[in-house]
Formats: sequence, structure tokens, C-alpha cells
Amino acid sequence: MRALLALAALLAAGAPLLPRSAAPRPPLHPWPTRFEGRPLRPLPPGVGDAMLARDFPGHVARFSDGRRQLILRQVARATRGLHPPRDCFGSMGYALSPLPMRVVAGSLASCFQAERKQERLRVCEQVRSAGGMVHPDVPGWYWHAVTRVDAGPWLAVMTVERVG
Amino acid sequence: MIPAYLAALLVAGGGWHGLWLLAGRADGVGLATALALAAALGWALVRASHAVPAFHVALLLVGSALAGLSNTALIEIGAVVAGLYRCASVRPRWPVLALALLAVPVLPTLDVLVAWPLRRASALATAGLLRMNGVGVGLEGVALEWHGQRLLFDGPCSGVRMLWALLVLASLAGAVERASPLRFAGLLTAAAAVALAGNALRAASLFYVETGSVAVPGGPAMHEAVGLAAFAVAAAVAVPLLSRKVAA
Repeated sequence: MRALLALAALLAAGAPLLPRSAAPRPPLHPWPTRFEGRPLRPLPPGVGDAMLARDFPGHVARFSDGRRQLILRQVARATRGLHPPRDCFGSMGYALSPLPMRVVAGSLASCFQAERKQERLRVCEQVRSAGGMVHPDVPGWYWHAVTRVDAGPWLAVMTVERVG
Repeated sequence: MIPAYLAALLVAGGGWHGLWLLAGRADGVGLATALALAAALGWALVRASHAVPAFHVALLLVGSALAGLSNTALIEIGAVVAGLYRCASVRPRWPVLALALLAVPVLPTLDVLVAWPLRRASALATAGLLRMNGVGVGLEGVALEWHGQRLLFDGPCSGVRMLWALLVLASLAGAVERASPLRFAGLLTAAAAVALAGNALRAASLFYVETGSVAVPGGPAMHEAVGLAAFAVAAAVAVPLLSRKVAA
């Protein structure tokens, strides 16, 4: 029995260390060059981008439209790897408070306020489908993607704007 | 047979990755509940004088290994927490196991997996409540339509936190009354139903506030106040419902 226990313990401890094949990434579609009529300028990855990219089976890029930052994520299948912005800002130590939905690029987007020290940000999210559907947040997108009501691929748009 | 503390050490060692993931994910409410869970498990293990069958420990470790292969954080965390609870407890019970699992940072996952179905169900129930009260609202997806206005159930209105709190309450009630698995399943179902009804009540109340049908000061404070009041009503309904058998 001791040998069995030792083997089981070894298996349990070692299982997470086994090499895994990386999740297949969809082909990269060209990033939009304008958003709400404003030209987009690529930015280097920010502090939280590594968190957004962790186990994410898609592509992430950061842009500026001169007024706010946009974090765009391309994804082609339902995945928990598309983390809601709320989780990312929460884990970076921001205090979050909900805001009413806003119209972003002609469709509703879920918004919240993220506050840390003297920094106050308004963050809005929406997930836009190639087929034209727009989901105002990740949970709403997830079920449409799982049930294939919306076939994708999708562009998850996060806008981050300094408000105070 | 293996002493409980030694069995727990083996399970913790085998599930090190789950514990590491747990430590990385615990913040806010999740940190508080994870610390409470750690304290409760630690306390139970320090006082434990029982032993755990070696075969059970081997099964727990195999479960941990399979969880590790799943590459899903919550499954790995759940496996190691369930294993530690099994080691700490002389006679494991489902409601206490459920409490332990609800104490890990499960809310972000519930927010993604459960929020949208809850919003849809709440929107249906809210529309029903309002129509019963003579308000002819339309319903499209998770939006209520009334006189050209659209009122949306957004993420914070999904009732996920209310559901989580009432599931904790149901698990506590089940633990206190030593509920059978069938009775405990009934308690969880009742808690979910009360959470749904409570959220519909909150949304229907907010409908009157947001549309100006009731003359009260608006703003986020009123939104919060209505939410708290609806939660208080849901808890007031849930407590006697869940503790019915204890009183009997």
C-alpha cells in the first residue's frame, strides 16, 4: 500500500508539470485601423496584458485613439480564457464599482469604474461578432458562443479612459 | 490507516499546484473566505485524532492527478480542497463539503458561467411580476422594454452574489441539521429558487425607480439600497424555509 500511495502522490504532484500542447490560435485578422471614427495607433503591451494573454487562444493588442486606450482581443471559440476586464482590474488591486451601460461604437457596452490611489478609470467592454452581433459583456458572449447561436469569430473590445 | 495530519500532508503535497492556484486567485471576498477555509481546515486537522484509510488517500491523490490533467484551475483547487476536507473530517458530510467548495474563489467563474442564464431567468421573472402588477413590459433577451425605454439586466444585476450567499446559507442549514443528500439537494434547489425570486423582486423594484414611476431620489445609492433591501427580503424568506426541519 505504501508503494501505491507513493506512486499516487508522485502522479498527483507531477500531473500539472506535464508539457501541454498550446491551444491552437486562430489566424490573425487585420486589426481595425479606426474606432468610432478615430484613428488607432498601436501601443506596446501594458501591465495587465500578460494577464489577459494567459492561456488565451487568440490574439491581443493594445491601441490608443488619442483619448483612451483600447485593448482588442481576437478569439474564434468559446473559452474561459477570454477573461472579463473586471477580473483583470480586480486582480491588479483596483477598487471596482459598476457604472450604467454606455453606447460604444453604436452598441451597448458594460462599464465599471476602476480606482486605485489617485487614478480613476472608466472601463467598458463589449464583444463584437463577425456576423454583426454585439454582446455587452463576456458572460453574455460566452453562452452565445458555447451554444453556437453566434458562430464568431469575435473581437473583444475593452476601452480604458481616465476620468479623474 | 494513516493519521489524519499525515494524510492531509500527502494530499496537500499531491495537490500543491491546486493550492498554488488558490493562493494566486484569492482576493477580495475570495481571500476572506479562503482564509476562513484554511483556518477551519487547519483547526480540524490540529485537533484530529482519527485516521484515514490508506485506500481513500490513494483515491484522493488519483483524483488530484486527474484534476491536474484537466488544466482547469477551479477543478484542481476543488480536488485538493475536497481531499483536505476528507482528511480533516471523521465523517464527511455533503453540506460541509459544499461549504468548503463555496469558500474557494468561485465568484469570477460563476460570473462567466452562470450570470447570463441567471440574467435571462431574472428578466423573465421580472417581466412576469410587472405584468401581474399591470405594467405591460416587453422582453427582448435580457432587456425590458416599456414606452420606448430599454432597461437592461447588466452583469451586477445577474444575482450571482445573491445566489452564492443563499447557497452558503443552505449549506450551513444542511450542516446544522445533518441533512441527507436528498434533503440537501432540496435545500440547494430552494436556495436557488429564492435567489431567482429575490433578484426578480429587486429588478422589479428598480424598474419603478428607474422609470420614475416612484418618486424617490435616484442614483447609485438608491440602486444599492434597493439591492440590499431585496437581499434582506430573500434572506428573510430563505432562513425559515431552509431551517424548517431544524425547528420541527
